[in-house]
Amino acid sequence: MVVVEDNAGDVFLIKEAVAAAKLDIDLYFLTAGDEALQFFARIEEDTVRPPELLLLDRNIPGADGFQVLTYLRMSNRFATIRVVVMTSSSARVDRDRSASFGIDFYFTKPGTYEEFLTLGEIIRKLA
Amino acid sequence: MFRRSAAEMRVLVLAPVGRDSTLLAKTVETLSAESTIVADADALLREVSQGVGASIVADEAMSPGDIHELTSWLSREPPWSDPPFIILMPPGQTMQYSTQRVQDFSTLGNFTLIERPVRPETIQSAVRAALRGRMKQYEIRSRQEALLRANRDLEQFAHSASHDLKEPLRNIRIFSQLLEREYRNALDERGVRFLDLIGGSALRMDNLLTDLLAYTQASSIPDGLPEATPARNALDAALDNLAAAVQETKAEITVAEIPPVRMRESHLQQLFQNLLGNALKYRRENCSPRICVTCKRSGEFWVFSIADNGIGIPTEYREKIFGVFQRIHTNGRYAGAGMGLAICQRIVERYGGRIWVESEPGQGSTFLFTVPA
Repeated sequence: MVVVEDNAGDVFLIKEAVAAAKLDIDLYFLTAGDEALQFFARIEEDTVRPPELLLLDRNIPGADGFQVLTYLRMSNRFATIRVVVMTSSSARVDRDRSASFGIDFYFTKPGTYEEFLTLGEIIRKLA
Repeated sequence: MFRRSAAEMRVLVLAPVGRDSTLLAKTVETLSAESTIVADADALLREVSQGVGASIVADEAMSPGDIHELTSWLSREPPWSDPPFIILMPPGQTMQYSTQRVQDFSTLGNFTLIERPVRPETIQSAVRAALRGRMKQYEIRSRQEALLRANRDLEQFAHSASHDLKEPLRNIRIFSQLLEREYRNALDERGVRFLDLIGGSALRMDNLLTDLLAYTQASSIPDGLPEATPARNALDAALDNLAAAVQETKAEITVAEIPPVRMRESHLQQLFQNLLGNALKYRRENCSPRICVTCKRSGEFWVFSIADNGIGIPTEYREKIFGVFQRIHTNGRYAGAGMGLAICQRIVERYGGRIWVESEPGQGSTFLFTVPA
């Protein structure tokens, strides 16, 4: 699973959620939108195998989450990747815009540790 | 852009008799203003909506029905727009006729009667004055647009700022919770107290940012008054959000018949929520809140009142409580950011209403606000 997230606290919580759900998956972390775009460009050139899952923070430095999603939707090479968009905004417009990309789950980052751990179950269902 | 502004400063000429139109158009063109000759009142009506600086219109070309049509077009113009009309009256008219026509044309607002025969200089001076006035109207329009844009930008900024500032707070809260839970035993009483203070402060800051966001949204300028919506819906939504507090305090809330009002529903809901929330919060000890919502008509407005049996508000604070970040109690006793009533005031004033409080300390408070009917 590829995780695009720049917030160190959230990176920690994602690892905790995966560990708590006892998921046996490799995590690969990227911290910026441009980095993510380069990563996917390498997949398109067939030098890297596409991940099964992408956990994408909407609000990342450089190209934002929506730009990354736009790029993903341009090539069939990415068609099998299941996508979870994470955001701290519960704003309707963000949710609707994410939905328009046909993503698999929209995760509003919660304010407590326990709620954050539910992300593990969400990943399990998609993995 | 040039084409558009040319149309906006052009002079429309409607003079159906003989060579009048051509002569008038020539006269106008010596002012280096563009002119467009129109054949009849219908054509004038079509052309004005494409942009107009001023219109020169022969009196006899406009029936009362034509004037009525033009007036109804004017009523749909934005508030800054008041297009000028120069009306050419026939020579030697009777007093009775001209009095009648002044009355007919009066609905156009910005009109000037000139009696024929008329010198080119007279026409030119009238057109020049009319175009100058029209130019000022366009300046007002662009300032208004700039202001609206600036306001929208500011709102957008406050919106992103409050979201972005909340982001790190979420982690501060989560990790101080974790620290307290997992390492409580490693800390002494002082250490645990510090953690409580960190968590409490983060929570308060989070509330402040939520309120700040609501405050900026309350200031968004409505484009004219919205259609009337049932106030009851907004009230019910507010009560839904307060359900936990209502249950916990065993509050008794009675609502009289309330009418539809011309306010955005989200604004009205916010008003009810903040005022009812206060009524629940500032209750007397060992005394369940009794809250009564009523409404009565007063001229152009509805006056809503929300009366409680709470702790009341001392006279000296009755203005102060509507200020931004104003609180009259310490944090421990009544939690809050001191933004609730400031938000209410901002919303009410946006709609041209006002909000105030009447109170008997120790007996209760009644908050009243007016909204356009």
